[in-house]
Amino acid sequence: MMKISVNWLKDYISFDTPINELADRLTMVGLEVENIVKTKPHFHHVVIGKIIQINKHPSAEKLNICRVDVGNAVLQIVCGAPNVSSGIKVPVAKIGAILGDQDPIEAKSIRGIQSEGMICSEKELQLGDDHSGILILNNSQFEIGDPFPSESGIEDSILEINVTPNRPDCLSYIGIAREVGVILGKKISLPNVSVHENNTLTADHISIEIQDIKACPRYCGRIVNHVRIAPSPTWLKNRLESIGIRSINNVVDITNYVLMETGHPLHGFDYERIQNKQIIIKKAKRGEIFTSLDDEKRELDSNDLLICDGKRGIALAGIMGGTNSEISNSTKNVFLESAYFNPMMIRQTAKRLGMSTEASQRFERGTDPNNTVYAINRAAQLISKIAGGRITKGIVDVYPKPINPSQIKLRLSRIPAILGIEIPQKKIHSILSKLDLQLKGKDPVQVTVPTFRPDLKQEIDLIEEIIRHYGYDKIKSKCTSILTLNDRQNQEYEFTENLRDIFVGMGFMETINISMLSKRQFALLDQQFTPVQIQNPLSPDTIFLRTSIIPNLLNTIRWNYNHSVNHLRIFEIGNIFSEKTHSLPDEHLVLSGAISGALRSKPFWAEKNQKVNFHHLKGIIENVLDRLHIRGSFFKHGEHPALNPEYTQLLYCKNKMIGIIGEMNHSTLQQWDIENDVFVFEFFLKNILHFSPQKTINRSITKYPPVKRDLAIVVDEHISVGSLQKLIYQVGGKKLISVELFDLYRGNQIAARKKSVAFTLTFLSPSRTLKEEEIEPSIFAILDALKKTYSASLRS
Amino acid sequence: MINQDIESKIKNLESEFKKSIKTANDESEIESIRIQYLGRKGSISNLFKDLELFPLDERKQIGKKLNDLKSHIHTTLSKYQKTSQKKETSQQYLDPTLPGDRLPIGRYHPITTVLRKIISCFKSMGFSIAHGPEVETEYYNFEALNIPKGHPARDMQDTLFIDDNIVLRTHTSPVQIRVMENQPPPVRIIAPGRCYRRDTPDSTHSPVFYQVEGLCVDEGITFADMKGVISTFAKQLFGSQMKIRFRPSFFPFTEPSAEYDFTCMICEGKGCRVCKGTGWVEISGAGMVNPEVFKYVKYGSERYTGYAFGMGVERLAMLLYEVHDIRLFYENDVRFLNQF
Ligand SMILES: [Zn+2]
Repeated sequence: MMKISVNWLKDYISFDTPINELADRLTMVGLEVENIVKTKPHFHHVVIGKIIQINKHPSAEKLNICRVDVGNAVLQIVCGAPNVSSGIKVPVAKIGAILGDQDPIEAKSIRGIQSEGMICSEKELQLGDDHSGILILNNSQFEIGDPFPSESGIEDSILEINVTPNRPDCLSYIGIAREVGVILGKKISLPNVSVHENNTLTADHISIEIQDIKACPRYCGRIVNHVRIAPSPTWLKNRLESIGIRSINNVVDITNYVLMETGHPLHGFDYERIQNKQIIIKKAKRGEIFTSLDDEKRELDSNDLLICDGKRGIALAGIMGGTNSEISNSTKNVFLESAYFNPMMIRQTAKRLGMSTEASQRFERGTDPNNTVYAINRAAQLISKIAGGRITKGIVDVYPKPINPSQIKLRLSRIPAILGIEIPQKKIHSILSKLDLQLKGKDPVQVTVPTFRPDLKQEIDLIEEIIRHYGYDKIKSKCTSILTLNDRQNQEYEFTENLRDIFVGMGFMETINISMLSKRQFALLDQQFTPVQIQNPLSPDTIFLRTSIIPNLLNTIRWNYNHSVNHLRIFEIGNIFSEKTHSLPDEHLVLSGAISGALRSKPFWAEKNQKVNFHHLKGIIENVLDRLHIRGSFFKHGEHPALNPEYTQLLYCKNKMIGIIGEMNHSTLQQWDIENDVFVFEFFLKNILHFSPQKTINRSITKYPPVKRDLAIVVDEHISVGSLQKLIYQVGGKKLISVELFDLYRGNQIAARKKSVAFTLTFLSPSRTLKEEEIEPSIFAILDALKKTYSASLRS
Repeated sequence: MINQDIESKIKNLESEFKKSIKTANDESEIESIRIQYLGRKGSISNLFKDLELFPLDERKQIGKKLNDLKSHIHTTLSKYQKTSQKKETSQQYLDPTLPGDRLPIGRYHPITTVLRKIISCFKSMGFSIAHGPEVETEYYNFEALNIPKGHPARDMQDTLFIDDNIVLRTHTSPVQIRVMENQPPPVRIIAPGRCYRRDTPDSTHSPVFYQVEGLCVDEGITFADMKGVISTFAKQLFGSQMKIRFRPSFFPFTEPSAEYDFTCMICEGKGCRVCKGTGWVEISGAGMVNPEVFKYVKYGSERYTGYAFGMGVERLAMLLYEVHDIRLFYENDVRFLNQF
């Protein structure tokens, strides 16, 4: 984010385009103006206050002790004005405020009473000559705590520009001015830099040695002697503060000012504190401790680039200076650094140390290696002008392998080939040359790219520059009817969407959850997969990629029960993950769901509202299998750490497991604070897809009627209906097409620990009408087998 | 003669019955009609008695007619009986204002609905669907997209790492690379799917989100084609009044790069709080495929050109349904989901 003060920008380019229009046009060349802040000038640290209480000073008759509300605090201020009264709004100069040429307001004791500021008169605010009393603000629009507006100074607009990472040049006023120049068709004017040097040779007083040329291709140094460190003049302070930079002192402020102006970061050292008058640029020692300006002790790595003097590190190259060489109020002589560092090098260190400074942001995107001299001279010029220093003769400039502007060939035919429009040649030339690119030849055009544009590397980058300023809106949409390509098989997609439709059709609400789990959630549920762990999770709740969707669904259930929903039928389709050594993790697309609470969404007056149970879920799943025409699937008893062992059923097809259904066990539900029963399922979509036939073929429906026979048998309690059914199918012959349970009875009509199970058997022949007698042998065989295998008897 | 006589008796009986049943008012009257015709001493029984006088073959023939009449009277009577019963019960019990039996209603998650709209729109323009893994190598997620290690562009997306070389994909753009590696041009795909970023959740950020990435590569593809496809999409999703705006931006895998905006659907371009007064809402990024990317997949960038575009599904859903907090999509509050 680059903050541009429009008033400051006008130092480099003059224009009277309305601010909103300028902002729009900047946005349309890729410098997105995210916000425009209009600022009004105001006094520093002078705010609107309200006197809330007045007491007489105990030892001075003419003085009052006022308690003044200034918004974020209530201050005690001693005031001698005759017109103070409780309830009035007044301008309050807080501690640190500077009024006119006077010293900053300080907290002080006035005849034994602490006073934390000053209530101002018109004269004190230089608004007039009235000094008879304090200024009373009658206008109700003044809000307590707001800054007090100043009559002097002018209004400004601050453009907050989102500069993309490829444009380090636009992290500066001159860079933005250059773009504005192209937009408005105007020339920009750079500050004239002239340096008045004395006769002392810089090179006699400092030696500079680069030990790692790759990391630091260029280093320039200059000395300014006899400076007077002081607060910056108001104009400088205002400019920096208008874009959110804290004013420190004149020399530091000047380096920051030049940084903003040119985009080139500078650093000022206290010359006296440079040991041996030597500057050495080298890699740090592993484990070396360096105290940066923010008073943090930083442990360095052997990849970090350090600016050292004869004895120790004095600055973390391109990121931050050190406390040991910092400019203080007693500094007399300043050593200025203007260097070019390798972007990767700075980025690596800044990232590892978690530091991001105005300097590092620019160096890591790439500054202009050929702008170091301009920037250092500009700073020296301002220092000698503002802080009164004397500039020594010459720059010590170590630049062993100069970096030259690059050359790119631009073939004009590639422009319409990429953009779909023709751009007049004149226009191309004017855009590129206004961007300070040099052009030679007609076609291809030989383009010389200045070193402040490291983003321009290839022909395509130049094409972007042209269209960026020519206007994306000049390209007309082309709506040719698009040839339909051979559509790749989207079978899995279609199948997934079909399943989604089926579940929604069956009354399930689709959910989408964050696909991560906490350690605890993983431990509670799953043992099947090794989870994939995230190295840098946002929170411990999201440390694992999910190995099942069920924990997510439980979260959803809890959330909704806590918001007084009483029935839930939910599902989600998404990936689950399991760790795999030496390759990417396995990703399985699964469909999971849960039902809980009431069976109906609204109570039905004709029936008691039932709660869902395991068999409701089982019925749903059986219906789905039916819809998908999956034949030969069967349930098998299974085990799962989170499921009730009595109701854990694995769904198989052939010998492949395709899913699981079950009832959540109560201890797991307790962990989730869920009181109701919850029934869940999880299917592997690939496996279902595998067993779901691609094609369905019509078979003629038999015209002969079926023969039905009801059979009620009595068996021991522990014998499962499923096994009885299975046996009946096995021995019932080919014509037996269905065995349906229609009654299950336990009670005093039959013996204890026995149950009566009643089935309807349906027999059918595809080729003729069956006679009642014909099924008798099958019935006998069935009864016989049931008797032998399960000691079943016919219920009388 | 006798034969004809009995047949006309049968016919008369039938028409008599029809008349009397129409005038029957309640159940007791229906019952008396039943006794009159079907009772032990009723008209039908009497006729059956007469039948005994006929020779066997005629007896069969007339008997069938009598039987038909008998069953006709029988079914007609029972029908009338039912309606009359209903009439009586309804007067006492039936209340149509009683609520219906409400079985649970299923609903699609709004993200699914929007995803389906997007997909069907691009499918109709000849794009196919491609998928890739959510856990990606650093090569596919960054490097082959021209975002080398140490490039400031990596900071544009805060990444969740599995290890140094494996990440949770920060966009579905890696699918581009996987598809281009596996097939020669022409390519026309969209890649929908989940993406991940290390973003602290707030009203516009979610660590998990859905993206649809599109890619088209062929001979003679230009920026103008891209504008055409995206503007068709905008009109299909939001209506024909929708306009699009492209403005320059930066993505390492496209050059020239653009952000594209749609007309603000709240104020229809007049300027409001949602669009910060600009009349436009930012949708996502797009651009011409950078020749550097073609190098990675060994496509000749002199012969082929192409475009790529992305879009955030939640962003579009938020605009379509006026949802102001992205977190609502992942909270799965049934009261929220019930609205869609
Ligand atoms: Zn709007």
